[in-house]
Amino acid sequence: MPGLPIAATLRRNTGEVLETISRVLEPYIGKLMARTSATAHCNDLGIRAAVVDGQQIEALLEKLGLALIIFLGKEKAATVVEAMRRAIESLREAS
Amino acid sequence: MSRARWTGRALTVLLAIIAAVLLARAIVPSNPVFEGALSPRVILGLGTWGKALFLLVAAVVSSRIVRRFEPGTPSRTAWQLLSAGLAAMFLGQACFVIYQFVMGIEVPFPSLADVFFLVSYPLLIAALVMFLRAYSASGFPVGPASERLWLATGVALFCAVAAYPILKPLVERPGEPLETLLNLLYPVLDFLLLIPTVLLIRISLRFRGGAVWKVWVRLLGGFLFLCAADILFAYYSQFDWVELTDLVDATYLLAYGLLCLGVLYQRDLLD
Repeated sequence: MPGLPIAATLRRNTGEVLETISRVLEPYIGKLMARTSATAHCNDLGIRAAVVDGQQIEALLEKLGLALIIFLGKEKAATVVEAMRRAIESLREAS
Repeated sequence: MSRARWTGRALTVLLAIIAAVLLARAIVPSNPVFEGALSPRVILGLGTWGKALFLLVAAVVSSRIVRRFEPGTPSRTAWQLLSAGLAAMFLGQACFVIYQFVMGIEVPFPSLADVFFLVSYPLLIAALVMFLRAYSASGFPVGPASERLWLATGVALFCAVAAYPILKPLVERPGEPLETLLNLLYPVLDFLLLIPTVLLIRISLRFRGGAVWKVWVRLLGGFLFLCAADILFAYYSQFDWVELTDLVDATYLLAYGLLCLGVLYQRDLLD
């Protein structure tokens, strides 16, 4: 997905990341699908820890972006992924 | 507000008004208003031009949607097929406009319009199958393939059972051979259309509340009304049930109107 990737050193709380992704996706794919798809892709990537790094977040966004392309086209999907990226970056650093 | 959203709202109001008028005449045809301001000619114009307008907008806007999907993606092929199907339907409806308002004659059945309508069905069915494949492989949790398999089997069985009482009277009292063939063919094609439609309804339910759901609830609603309209038309035509005229018109209008609104919502979603 185009856009400046999240720094690999960034660390965020997994729960907060999933919450943020769901919030951005909800207007497009609905609350239920937003929540289940974010969690399902997270599980697919083997993300189980309470904290995720930038690389894992990028992998998650990549998967969600590819799924969104089917419904929204490449351009709009990239915009939505970018919105998720910026929203995650603005979260506080995980301790 | 985007142009697609504004157009969608305006056409929703128009659809509600025309459908209400047609349904009102279907329920109370003897009301004096239908002898005055809403004369049979006005009603005919509202129905025929209204349907043509909705199909024209749907065909044009869907062809623009195609460009928003990358070449080679399954969604692009699906939108191409849907757009071609809607264009064929529009050409069929345009024939009605020419018969009724240019030549000033009653639409013959069968007519050139049926060629376009018949062409539209394989395109629409192929489009829905492509959407189904694309959405199943999207990576979103749209349910297991086994669920779609049993649902498709269930719908196919339901169609086979429902087809018997619906099609039997049409076979038992045949009219002109070509007319009877078409009256049988349209509902059969509708039953085929119904299978991917129901599967897509199941998938869409998982997206409820979102913009994707708003698109699909309209598109799939349009296909369901199309199935109902074709069955009503078969009875209207085969048994000369003229009292069904307005109901048939209203059902087709709702089918084309909902397809048009679904396409407009998808266009708005891409902006």
